[in-house]
Amino acid sequence: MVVLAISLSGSKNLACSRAIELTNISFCYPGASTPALTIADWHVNKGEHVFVQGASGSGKSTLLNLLTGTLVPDSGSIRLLGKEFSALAARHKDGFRARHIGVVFQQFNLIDYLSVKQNIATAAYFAGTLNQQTQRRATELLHKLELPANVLSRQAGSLSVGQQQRVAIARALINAPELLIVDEPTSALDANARDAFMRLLLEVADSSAVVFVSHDAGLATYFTRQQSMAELTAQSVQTVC
Amino acid sequence: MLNTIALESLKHRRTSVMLTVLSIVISVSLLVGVEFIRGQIKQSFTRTVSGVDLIVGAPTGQLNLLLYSVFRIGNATQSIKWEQVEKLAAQPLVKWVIPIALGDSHKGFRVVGTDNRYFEHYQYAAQQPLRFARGGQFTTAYSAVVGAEAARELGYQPGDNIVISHGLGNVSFHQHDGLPFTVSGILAPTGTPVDKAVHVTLQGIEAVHQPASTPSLKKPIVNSPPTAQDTEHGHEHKHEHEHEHEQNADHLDKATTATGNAPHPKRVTSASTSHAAPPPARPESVTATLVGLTSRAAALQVQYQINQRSEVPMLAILPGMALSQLWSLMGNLEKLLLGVSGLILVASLIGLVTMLLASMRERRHEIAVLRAMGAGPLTLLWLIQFEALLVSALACGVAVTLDGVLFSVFASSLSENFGLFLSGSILTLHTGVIVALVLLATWLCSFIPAVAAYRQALHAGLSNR
Repeated sequence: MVVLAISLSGSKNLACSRAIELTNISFCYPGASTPALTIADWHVNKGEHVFVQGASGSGKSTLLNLLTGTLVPDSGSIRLLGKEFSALAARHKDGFRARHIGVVFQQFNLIDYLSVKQNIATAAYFAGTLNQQTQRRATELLHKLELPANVLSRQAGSLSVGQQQRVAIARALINAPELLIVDEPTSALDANARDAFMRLLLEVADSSAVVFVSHDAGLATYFTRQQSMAELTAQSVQTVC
Repeated sequence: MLNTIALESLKHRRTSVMLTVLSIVISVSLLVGVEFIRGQIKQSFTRTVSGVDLIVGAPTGQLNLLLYSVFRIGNATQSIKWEQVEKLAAQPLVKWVIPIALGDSHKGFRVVGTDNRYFEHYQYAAQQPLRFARGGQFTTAYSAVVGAEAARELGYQPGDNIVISHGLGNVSFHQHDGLPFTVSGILAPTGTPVDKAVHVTLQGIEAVHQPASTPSLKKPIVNSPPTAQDTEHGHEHKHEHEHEHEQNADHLDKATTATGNAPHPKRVTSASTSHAAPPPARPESVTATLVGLTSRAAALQVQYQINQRSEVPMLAILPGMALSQLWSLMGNLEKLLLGVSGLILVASLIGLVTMLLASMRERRHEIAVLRAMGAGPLTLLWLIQFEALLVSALACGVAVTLDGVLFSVFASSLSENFGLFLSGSILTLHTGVIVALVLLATWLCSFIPAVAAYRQALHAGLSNR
């Protein structure tokens, strides 16, 4: 099934305000004979909220890793926020990712032994934005996410699943990233919790381009644009592993 | 922030971390301890002998003579007669002699029988003379001069009376309490065995070994060279060795002439009035004699004369050569101890690496998260190395502190039982070098788990699935 829906969040000039541009991308895992992912052409505009849906093994995680620079395409170009991201040196990619990209994981992946404050501060530290304002920003974000300020001092591992979700969002947004990548964070939630989570996420990330990856087609309604992995990878790209 | 992450991560795995720390503490404290004791032994020995050109005693091994006469380690097997000391002092190349008689103790501190030449000629460290913190030299035959450490521990002041005991143990059943000595001076600290000695006059020590019931009236039953049993102290209980009272004055004059430092007759008289027996003018024998020469170049010549040509067999040794022999003997033991300590350290570091490697699996998702937040592989490599260094630094700190505490607690015991006189702080340059080397070794070893984290960071991607 292919689902494609695009809508704009805010008035943007699409031609010159692309958050993501993928061109002739091909990626093979070591030892594989066929590419794990090929994308001929795909883009996401700034501020756009895109839902990418696909079955397990369809290449969703590979796509996210390519977008964050932790995997490097064998060929093709990845431009992020107007910058040739795939051509950056590894060190610069790390810096770019820290400053411009927020990531929310499927299992939230908070560092259990750190406090909420430390989890959030870690993201600011790697982005080089850790300062005295960090705690204020964190408190504001937690307030928006309907978490009490006193949760800041609690160990992440001691939080409920719902609280961990929100802290994960706060951590991803502490640097006000232009691009937010979300990897199936609702898979373990019931319907009510899932709805609440989605509303909060898209509300606080309103100004960011969001790429939300999930196998759950029911979430598509929250997004202005929908993209299936099958369609995304259907266009042929000449490649050899 | 990386510090926080590293610290919190270690706290999170506190059980395995504490076991690893314990293992490194044991190895580092062994290394530091061995090195400290080695340094202290050398320093202590080197400090103790200064300005002494020869040590003369009864025939024995040169190490044995050096150890018991200067460092109060072990015991003499024989002694030398007083006449030999006088003859030695009369030699033209001999500038001074310091006779010493060992074998008694006072509350666990060794008693050294000697005369005032000891305080005039004995030097330690870089030819520093002995100084008095309070009081002064022997003034009567029953004077005592107490070393700094002994005075501090026993709370003695000039004017206090003390009783010496037969033998060397802490507890003696034979107290010479009929003839107490009066403290005439307290020596300033020297950092040598002198600090732990109670010095009394040769006359006084001779007197206390005469039976009170037969004060100086009998002729000595035995006037032969002291037996091995006697010479263990140089003046072992000589109940049979009683001098004629009449001879004392004559002997006193001769001793005064011979040494120039025998007790002042008036003072001796004064002391005699307050004690059961007047002191003999001179001892019958002494344990050893420290000798200063008019020229250091003459040392070999005088040594040869004593060793080869003296009528009574005696042994003269050069302290420096004896020390060299001691170092060479100890060298292999040192190497062995350091080698064993080093191997234990290697085992501990392997334990540290194993602990960190084992943690890599459970930290897969943590690494993925840190990567997602912008941590580069090199940052993660450094994070793991920093954790290893923290563990090692903590262990080194604990080990050095532990050694410091243990050595201060057992300093007295080491001194009394092994003659090892500890002085100074454990925070020496050598300790610093050992700690630096341990940290360097840790840093190098930590590359193994750190590179694993680096590779994991490169290939794991953002997801831990």
